Amino acid sequence: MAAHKTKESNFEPPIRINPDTTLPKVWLEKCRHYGVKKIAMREKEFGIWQPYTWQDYYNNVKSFSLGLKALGLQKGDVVAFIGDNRPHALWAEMAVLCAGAIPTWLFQDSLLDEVEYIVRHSGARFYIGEGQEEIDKGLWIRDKCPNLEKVIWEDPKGMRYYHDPILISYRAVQEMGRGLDEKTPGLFEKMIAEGKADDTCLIFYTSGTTALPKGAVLTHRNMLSMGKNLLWVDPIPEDAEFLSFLPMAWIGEQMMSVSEGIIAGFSINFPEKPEVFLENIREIGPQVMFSAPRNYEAMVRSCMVKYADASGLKRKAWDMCMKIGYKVADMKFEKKPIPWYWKVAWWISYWISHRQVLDTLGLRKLKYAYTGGAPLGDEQFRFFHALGLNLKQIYGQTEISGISVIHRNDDIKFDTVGFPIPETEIRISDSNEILSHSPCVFKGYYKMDEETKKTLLPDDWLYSADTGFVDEDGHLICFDRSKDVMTLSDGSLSAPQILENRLKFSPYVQDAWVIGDKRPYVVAIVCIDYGTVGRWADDRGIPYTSYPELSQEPKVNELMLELVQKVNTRLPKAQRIKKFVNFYKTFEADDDELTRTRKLRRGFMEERYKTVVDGLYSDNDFINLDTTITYEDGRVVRLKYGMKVNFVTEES
Amino acid sequence: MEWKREELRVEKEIGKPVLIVENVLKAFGGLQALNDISFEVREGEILSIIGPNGAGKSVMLNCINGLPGYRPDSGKITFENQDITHWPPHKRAYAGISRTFQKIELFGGMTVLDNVKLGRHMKMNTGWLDGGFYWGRAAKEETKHRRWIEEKVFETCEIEIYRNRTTGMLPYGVQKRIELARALAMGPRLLLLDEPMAGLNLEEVEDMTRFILDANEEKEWSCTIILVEHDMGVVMDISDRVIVFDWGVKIAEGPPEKVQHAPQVIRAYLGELEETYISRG
Repeated sequence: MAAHKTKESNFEPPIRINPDTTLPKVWLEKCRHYGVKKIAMREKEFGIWQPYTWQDYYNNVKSFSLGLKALGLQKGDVVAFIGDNRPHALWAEMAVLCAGAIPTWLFQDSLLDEVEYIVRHSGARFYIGEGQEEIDKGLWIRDKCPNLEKVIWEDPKGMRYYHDPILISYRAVQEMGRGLDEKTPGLFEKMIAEGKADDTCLIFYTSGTTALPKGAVLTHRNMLSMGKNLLWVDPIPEDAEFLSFLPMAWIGEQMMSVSEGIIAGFSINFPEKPEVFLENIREIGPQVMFSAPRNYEAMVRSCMVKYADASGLKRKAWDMCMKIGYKVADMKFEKKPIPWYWKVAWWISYWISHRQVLDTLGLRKLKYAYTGGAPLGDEQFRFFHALGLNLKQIYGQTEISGISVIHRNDDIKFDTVGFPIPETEIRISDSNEILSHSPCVFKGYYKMDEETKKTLLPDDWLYSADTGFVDEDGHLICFDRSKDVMTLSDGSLSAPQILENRLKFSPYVQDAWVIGDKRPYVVAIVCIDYGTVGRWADDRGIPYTSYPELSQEPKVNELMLELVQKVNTRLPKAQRIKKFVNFYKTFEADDDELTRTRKLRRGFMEERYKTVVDGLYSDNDFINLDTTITYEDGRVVRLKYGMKVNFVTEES
Repeated sequence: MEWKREELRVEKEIGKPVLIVENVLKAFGGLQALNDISFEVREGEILSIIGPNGAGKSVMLNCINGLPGYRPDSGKITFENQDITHWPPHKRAYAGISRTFQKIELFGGMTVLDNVKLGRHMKMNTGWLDGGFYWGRAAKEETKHRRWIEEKVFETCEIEIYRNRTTGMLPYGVQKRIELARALAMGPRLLLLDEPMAGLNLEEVEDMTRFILDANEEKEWSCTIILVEHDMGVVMDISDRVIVFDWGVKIAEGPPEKVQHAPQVIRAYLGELEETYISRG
């Protein structure tokens, strides 16, 4: 086993954690410290960024927390949350934490059976939803969830005929809280003072690419250590801005908004609607951003589409500036000294092009841009570094409160995930599995001892089920999920994600699924990007009415064929994609093809689309698929589609 | 999760008649588009007008709305105890009648916000001079109305994320919503909706139904609504009463479930059953 230790940081940790430190205690200190002098959060509403100071934060949390107490919330109770990212949601979460109870978040777009499973399994007594849609889900499942006592709603839109006694509004709870505060002053502070660092803080139901969701139990110590160690590597000033747009049910968002947000004290901004966060990023100009690879991929795509639409002169300028950008970025990756003339050239191209591009994307002020959850493709990674963005890959899991490994500022390699954060150790087991150990490692899965034993060693080493290596510079390379690693026809190992990311670097590809484990050759199922391919077809006068039709258009098949051929030229022989189809739809979480954090559920897909996979490994040049789709409201419809199989020939 | 039909319709108070149409006749050359039509619209209700293509539904809306060329040949239209039969359209708009069109009639080159603001224009009191200089009074007034649009109209129609986008570039379903938003921006008491669901997909229809119910039931709107619509699922779900037209003649009137089974209605639709009597629900 190769042991692997962190690089030492040469400055003091941002916070010290003793057995009594809890998130609410740190939060209370910050509220007292900043009061009305500093903006804690903003939300864009009615077209204006509405600010809330730390005093507002305190007042709202206090009244809601006491209100829940008045409704009978006890220490250790579980409270289920569902909704978009909003200040009210964060207040409510903090309020539950202050009362010593345990929040657990559901993904906003979860379907009924997921909501039911998590609420019932966690034994939640309270269900806090944002508006009518979430409340409807709460009301539908209540008969199957015996512990559920109150359903709390925040947004009054559409709630005018909801008079069920189980319902209560957010404001009414806060009103009750104010009443309780008048009767028993000091109760709120007393509740906070009772907390201990090893108390349970949050339960995260992991989206699970295979089985039922598992609830990872994290303590206050876990969450605080996470914030502390990440800030130890990349300190964030208290006047920084952060945009909260990832699902609250994802550890990555909680790590930034809660763990880091409270320790560092930066301002958290909530977008108007999740759909427009890319526009809102530009208005805020954050200094730190954490995002899933998908969003970075979308940005690359939009750059390329705009490039295609730009005038000749602009394209020439971009080409030249990007060439310089790539050259300098590659020198940085190789840690070669950059000669002064390249520095000058880079500086000029920054002012001609890169600065404007970053500004348009809203990334110009970023000190740190993190990508995690899944690996970002090497092409995409180089692209952002060519623009001069300090983009870092991070590696982690929910079970370790977020992340365990991160790139250091001056030591970035696009095929690795970097070094462990402080207080964290990484080991590679004999079967090449990544093991980690740190104060952030979770307590276990909620009510699932069997599962816990499989993941957590008695001495607190965490099994990741990821295959990885440590390279000659000591960087960790995360290859892929162990069960996804493909053994190719020539016996070599390969990660499907690497091939998929190569395909996704094209602006025309939204998603891809590569198969090849123990198969005679590698095949791909490609989802075209409706927007960009649609525009490409418009420009060429190709008519289409829908996604399935556009995907099967012969010209579109040709376009994709060219693209796959191009990707193949840079791959070793065994990894080359031999056949592919343009899929008739995009992959959706509602159809169980992706997890809620948008990772492919390969096992499930291979089962569901067996016809397609078998078709790709037969001699047929056409696949007929008879399938069902699920609408957003849960209705199921049966459909039939035909897809052309494209044979990729070797280019001479 | 299927909506139960009863859930959508709730007990509400239906008041006195606000709009009375009496013996309206309208002919285009030899074609009798409206033949002696009489009905009442009561305060707070959703009244749907249905009928096969060419039955005169849109003509009826145009007569109520006062579109040029659509003045009734005879008969009387009364809105809130005032005879509006010969009023010009803008006067009717001031009186509180607002509408949407079957084919989208938005300014494609303007932003969504500008389109909606246009609907609010008649509520502004400052003149062109004040507006031109944009001093004190005019600026203050605009802020007031902008706030109202953001808080009420955008919130109801859920188009806040499009506010600064060019209208013509937006998807059809969104443009339909902007039409409704512009009509609501006038703060109408009577809202005429001409096929708001036409060309929308299932999810967009569900959203639009929700917005129409909000306009009708939310206290801040409390609009009385006349709805011309082909989507029978929607008509049967949300209407308080339904009127059926056929060749310019009113052939039935009453609560949806009764009208649905009236023999003359079935006869009028016969032969067109496939195309017209559609429902997505």
